[in-house]
Amino acid sequence: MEFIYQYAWLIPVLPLAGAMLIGMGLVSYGKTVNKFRQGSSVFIVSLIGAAMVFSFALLWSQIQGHPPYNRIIEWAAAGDFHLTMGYTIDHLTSLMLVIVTTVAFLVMIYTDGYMAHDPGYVRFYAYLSLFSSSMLGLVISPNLVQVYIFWELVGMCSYLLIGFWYDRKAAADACQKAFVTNRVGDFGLLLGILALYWATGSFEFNEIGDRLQELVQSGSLSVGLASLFAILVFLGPVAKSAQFPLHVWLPDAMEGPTPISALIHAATMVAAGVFLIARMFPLFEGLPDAMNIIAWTGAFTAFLGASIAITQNDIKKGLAYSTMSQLGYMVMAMGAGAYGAGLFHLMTHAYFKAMLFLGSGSVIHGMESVVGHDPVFAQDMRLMGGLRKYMPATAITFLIGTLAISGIPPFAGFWSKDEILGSTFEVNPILWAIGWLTAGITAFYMFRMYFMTFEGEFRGKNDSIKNQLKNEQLQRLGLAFGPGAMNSKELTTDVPELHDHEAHEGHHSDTPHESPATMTLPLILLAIPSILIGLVGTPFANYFEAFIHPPGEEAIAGFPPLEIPAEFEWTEFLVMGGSSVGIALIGITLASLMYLSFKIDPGAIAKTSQPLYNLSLNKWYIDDIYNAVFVKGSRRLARQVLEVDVRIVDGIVNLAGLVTLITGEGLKYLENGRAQFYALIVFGAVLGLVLISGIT
Amino acid sequence: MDFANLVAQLNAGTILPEGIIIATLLLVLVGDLIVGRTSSRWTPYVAIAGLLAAVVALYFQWNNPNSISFLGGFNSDSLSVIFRVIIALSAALTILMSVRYVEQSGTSLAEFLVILLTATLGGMFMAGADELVMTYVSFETLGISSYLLTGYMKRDPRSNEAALKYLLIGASSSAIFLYGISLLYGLSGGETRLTAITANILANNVDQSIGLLIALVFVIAGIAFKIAAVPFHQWTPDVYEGSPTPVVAFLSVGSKSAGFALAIRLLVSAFPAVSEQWHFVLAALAILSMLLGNVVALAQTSMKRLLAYSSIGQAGFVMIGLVLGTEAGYASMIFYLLIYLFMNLGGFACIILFTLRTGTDEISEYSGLYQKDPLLTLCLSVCLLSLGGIPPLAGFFGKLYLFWAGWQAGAYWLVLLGLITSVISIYYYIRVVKMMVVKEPEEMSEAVKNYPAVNWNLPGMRPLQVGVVFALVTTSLAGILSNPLFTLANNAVLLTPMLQPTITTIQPAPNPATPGYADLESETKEAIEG
Repeated sequence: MEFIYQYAWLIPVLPLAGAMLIGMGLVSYGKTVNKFRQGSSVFIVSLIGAAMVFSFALLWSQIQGHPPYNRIIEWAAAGDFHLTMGYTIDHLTSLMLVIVTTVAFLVMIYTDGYMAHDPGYVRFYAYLSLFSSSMLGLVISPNLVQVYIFWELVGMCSYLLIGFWYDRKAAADACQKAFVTNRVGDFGLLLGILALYWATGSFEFNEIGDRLQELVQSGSLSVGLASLFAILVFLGPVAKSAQFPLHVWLPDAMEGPTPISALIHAATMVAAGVFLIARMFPLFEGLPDAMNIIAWTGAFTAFLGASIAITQNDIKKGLAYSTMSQLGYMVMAMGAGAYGAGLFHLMTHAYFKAMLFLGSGSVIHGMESVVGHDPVFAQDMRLMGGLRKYMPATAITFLIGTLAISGIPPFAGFWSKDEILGSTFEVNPILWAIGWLTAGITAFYMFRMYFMTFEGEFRGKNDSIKNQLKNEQLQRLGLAFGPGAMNSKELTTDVPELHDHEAHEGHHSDTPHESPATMTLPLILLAIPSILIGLVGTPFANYFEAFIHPPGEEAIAGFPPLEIPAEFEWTEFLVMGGSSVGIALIGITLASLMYLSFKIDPGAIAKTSQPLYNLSLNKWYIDDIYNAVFVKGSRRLARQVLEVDVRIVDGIVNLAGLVTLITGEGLKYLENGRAQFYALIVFGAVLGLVLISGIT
Repeated sequence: MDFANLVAQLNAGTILPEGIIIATLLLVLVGDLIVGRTSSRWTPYVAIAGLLAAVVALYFQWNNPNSISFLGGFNSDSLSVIFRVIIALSAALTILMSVRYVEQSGTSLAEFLVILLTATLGGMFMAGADELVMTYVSFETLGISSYLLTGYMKRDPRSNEAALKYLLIGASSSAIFLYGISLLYGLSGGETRLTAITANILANNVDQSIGLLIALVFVIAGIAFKIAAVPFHQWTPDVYEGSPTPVVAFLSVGSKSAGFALAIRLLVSAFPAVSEQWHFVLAALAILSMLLGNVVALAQTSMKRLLAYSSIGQAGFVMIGLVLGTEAGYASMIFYLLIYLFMNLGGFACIILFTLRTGTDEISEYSGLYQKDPLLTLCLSVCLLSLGGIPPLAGFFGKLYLFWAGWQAGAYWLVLLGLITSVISIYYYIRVVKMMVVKEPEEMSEAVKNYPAVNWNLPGMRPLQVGVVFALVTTSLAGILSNPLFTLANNAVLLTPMLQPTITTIQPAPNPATPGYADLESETKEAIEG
């Protein structure tokens, strides 16, 4: 088995090689390579497939009890400063490798169907492969510097992929927003890394934790300062995992193609934040203040995301807020010290959320044949409905995902969410209450989404709804640009059909159609873990917890765990599980009353609680606040800086220019081209130096 | 006495690299005489092969325990080896970029190569010269061949003017230098070996005499002329402007490195008695060079002049390492020169390429070049940004090490000034990059609009392409993968016996207890042993 560890570096290198090869081909022989559509996709998919097989082998070997493997080479050294690179394979890494490679593999297969008619097909595969490589590199990093490098790389890939349709203004804006927001977090992370290095002299995960504990205990570093460092590091995950207050980029990131939303913005990259917290757990563990901040951030984000998701009409935006909310759960679990539970939810969520996103992609793909390639129409749930008849495979898998995320046993989400809630209750009942309430809201909005999309009558041909949507969109744009900034006629001709799908056959059919097999197959394959994967972490036989535990702790029960641990309390489990299933059922019932049987009119509720409804619809006005404070503020600042620049800096520069001119004029007499004069200066300088050095 | 015995006694094996170059030189010369002008097809490659063979031979000289040869006339310690490598490599790169240039100017290539190889030879001997006469002879060999190279474009009046000026100023400063070493000879009671001079001066009890001080300043003046330190720099703008660009490239790297090698050897071994004074004088020269070189470069409109002044500034940075007098200082200086070799020659190769294609080297003519020649733009941008010290390019790491060594040694003001002036330098480097990259197509200059199609198949273009790409790759990667170069530079200092006593007895490191410094030392030693 040893050799698979020695060659584990191939896992990120394989997709990287694929991306480089295709990328080089695109740069140098663009036209030819673009024609090799099937060839390039098969090539890339088989590379990631190989990486997946490798990852499974590693996971299997780790389950068999292979000790963690480290391989380090020295990258640079200056004095006592050493930078090392390498990779480490332990339980956490092997698990993450499997999650990332499987989701990436399935998403890549799906992409073939989804992007079949896009001119950027090959480029898309190159980006996907580059992203997979960066993400895998991040997962196997043994130290913070390397993590930071790959952290930035995944951020860059995310930027590239959100802005994949760069000719759409919304996509171009969204990718910039994602990039800038992530910069804020990354800057914090960088500061945190540097501060930790300053304090502990190390970039290694375990060493940092241990040394920091020692420093704090010996009193040479105050707890407050240590917590500050930890929180700076936590800023990185806040941005990447879309936690409040840096969550604003994630919903906008849905402008990217749907496979990206599934792979990057649901399953893998956004989970990198949670992964980093897990990696740095030895550090956070000993700092209760930092842990509290993490837990509360997570809980608030979970609630915020869920409350916004209730009123979203765009299917992808709804899922985006739900992702944010679920990430909040994971972060909350980490903050509450429930290391295993958080990662367990990360795993289950990766599978069912990837499936949900791919399902929504399939829905959009089906809708596009009816309403055209305008995201305003194709993604709006008010135009959907009754799709189960037309696309059964998508509907069933979507339902499975919905049940999983709502926490209905025995689907995957139930076990992980229940474990999080259970461990949070032990730490802080208020956090538990927020999580519990959020679980109810989650069930409500997810079933609202399911019912609006797949049940009832198909509304795709309803022109009045279409007009209403168009008006809403124009209004939004008007708000964004300021009234009168743009002629509304221009917009109506401007927005649709920006990326070229015209070749798509069956453009104007009356009914949506089921997606091709390359798209439904990944959905069906993802449905299997979404149903079953939770069973590895049931409270009465928790294989998962025994495998994944914080580095400092020994496994709770030996591995594999014995039958049922003696101290396992059925009553507690039943109370906890029962209450969360109960609130989920309430949510589902409400949703079915409102959106399936229309017994309750949602519009009426919205009218009676107008402020709350608006709060949710406008995303708690957070975007507007940021716009007012940061965007406008920085514009104002920029203007002031410009003033300073024009008056003072330019003044200095002009002065310097003047001085240079004068010295230039002066130097002209020195540089007059007369050799005898040069020689005179040489002799003069010699004399001067003798005098000066003689005197001193 | 038979020949083999003589060779063994003189330890002549140490000058094997120089021997190889002399053989190459003769081969080129005789081959050209026999074959005639068609020889230009193979002579440059023979010359490069000879230079590379010399580098290989130098590799085997590394850490040679028996380094003194020619009865004390030549020292082949690690310090001289590394400088000789730098000089030989700079000559090889210069040849790569001069093939096309000389061909286009219609002069004979073989003669150019012969003179260039002679200059290289002078520089290499200068790097190892351990005796006053040897020093002066190699100094003049390098000098006279440089004058010839400067005036190589016989029909160009500017080239003639440059050569004449260079000759006149060079002659006067070499007279000063000669006067300086003759004073040294007298003070030491007729000793010419550098290692013995100090002992004799101390024995003769003249270590406080004003004569020694005058000798010091005169010698420094001679060296400062070679490395173009302010105020002995006046020849540079005129000479750089007038002489063929490949020659400028060689003068700014090869000739300067030889000057630095001479400076270390001469000052450390012959002037320990006045070490305070020479540090002071050099610090003054470094400050003046950094300030004047970088500030005046701001106002230049010609690319050649820009690089001329910037190379004055760069010499100022390198002198920081010399002034420190610590192990790290010398090592950082060597490290910087190693990197400077690639980035500066890369920059010159790009300018030559541009001049060959457009016939101009005005900075404003570069605008919009990106549209027409991305490779050239990329390479020139990388080299210029590296010269400016932008991470993660090689130059950044070079400056980082220099300034770090300076900070460790307590030379705060020098480092601060170095930082400020390198910020200034970034301005004028980036201006050129911006000119090439940012401009819209309609702002393109006339020269770029009429840019000929890129054709690498013209005779002499391939070597230029190789040079450009090689410089590009090294400059971009040498920073990230700097460890080997770094270890090399450190070992060169650690393995040089001459630099060891200086550090422990005469010029103790200002802060040897600093952990970073001590660790560096022990670690590098480990690296050597390991």
